[in-house]
Amino acid sequence: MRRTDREIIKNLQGLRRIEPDAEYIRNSRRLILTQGADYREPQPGILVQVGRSFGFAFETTLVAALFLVVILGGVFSLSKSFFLPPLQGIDEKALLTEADAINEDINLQLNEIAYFGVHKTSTERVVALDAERLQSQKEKLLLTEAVTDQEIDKLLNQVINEY
Amino acid sequence: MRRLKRTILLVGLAIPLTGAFVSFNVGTARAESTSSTLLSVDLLSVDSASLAPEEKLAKAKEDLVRALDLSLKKVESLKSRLNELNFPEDSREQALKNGALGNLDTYAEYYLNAKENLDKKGSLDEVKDLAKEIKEYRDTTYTPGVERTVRFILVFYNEEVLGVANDRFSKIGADIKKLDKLGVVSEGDFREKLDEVTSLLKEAADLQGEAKKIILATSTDPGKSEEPSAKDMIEKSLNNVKTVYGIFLELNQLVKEALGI
Repeated sequence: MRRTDREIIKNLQGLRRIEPDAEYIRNSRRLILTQGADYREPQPGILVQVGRSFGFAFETTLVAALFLVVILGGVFSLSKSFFLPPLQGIDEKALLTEADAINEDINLQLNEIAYFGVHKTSTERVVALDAERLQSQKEKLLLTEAVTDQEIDKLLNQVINEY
Repeated sequence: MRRLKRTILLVGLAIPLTGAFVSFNVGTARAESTSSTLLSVDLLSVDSASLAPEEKLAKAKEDLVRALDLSLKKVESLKSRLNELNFPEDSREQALKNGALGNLDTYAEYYLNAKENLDKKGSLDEVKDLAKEIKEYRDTTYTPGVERTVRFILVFYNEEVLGVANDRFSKIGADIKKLDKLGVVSEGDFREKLDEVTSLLKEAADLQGEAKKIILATSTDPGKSEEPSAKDMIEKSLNNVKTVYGIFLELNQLVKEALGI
């Protein structure tokens, strides 16, 4: 190694001990602290500010709306019809109850009028009604005035023919 | 546009309602079967061969008393059904109602007399003869009169049932219109069913009107003949109402499907 190189290295190693003098340190610190008190961020333009405001409001509203949807969803899940206007006509429970009542009542009335229909004597009626019941075993014969009449006719036939 | 609206609404419904179960309970609303009202009419078989003569007489009397009691009960039931019908004092309807009530009083009197006579009977043959007389009376006098009375009651029952069905139809029509305005269903999708109901109810009303004319033009006197078609008209009219209620239930299902519920 040449002598010049050794000197350069020695000088560079000496640089590690370099530090500002006390006056420079004091002045720099004072300057920095003084600047901090008067510092102002650069102000964005009015359009940017308005845009930011709307963005925040939108985000807040969206979050609130989603929150409501999630919370209320549990309640709404009990009935989708909550969203619909009152539907009196197709209200299923009322319709089913009414349909059942009407059908049953009409069947009673039709059974009664049918008993007095074609067959004019009590014996004919009893036999015909029994045959009808055997034909349609699934269909239960409801307690009607017609059944009362059939029972009366059966009792009379029994007194006349069975004893 | 309508499809879009519907899609929006359905998506809106779908988000919070994912996984929700349908609130309409199809099955539960159905009324319990009327099995409790069933009456067996096969309980009357009697092993009479094993009975002693006095037992036969007692059983025959017992059966005849039961038949007469049921007859009186039936007459009372018809009277109460007639009394539920209210008409203007001087109307033809009121006159026919009064006539029918008078006939029922006559039948009740006959049955009461028969019960008194039965008490006096001392032999099985006498009881059997009385049973034959009652049977004859029922076939020739009571049954034709009661049949006429039942038709009279039914024609007004038919009128009442038609009123209920028409009222229900109006409400269903209004509901579908409401949903159509909201854009969630299209009224046109239900038009065929709605037209079918309109046609059935109109036919039912026409038949009921015709039957009523016939019945009001006829006397309640059992001896007089009556146009037989009135019964068929009432039957057809009532069957139309039953069909209409079947369509109402179909409409209910279709609307639910359209709404996705």
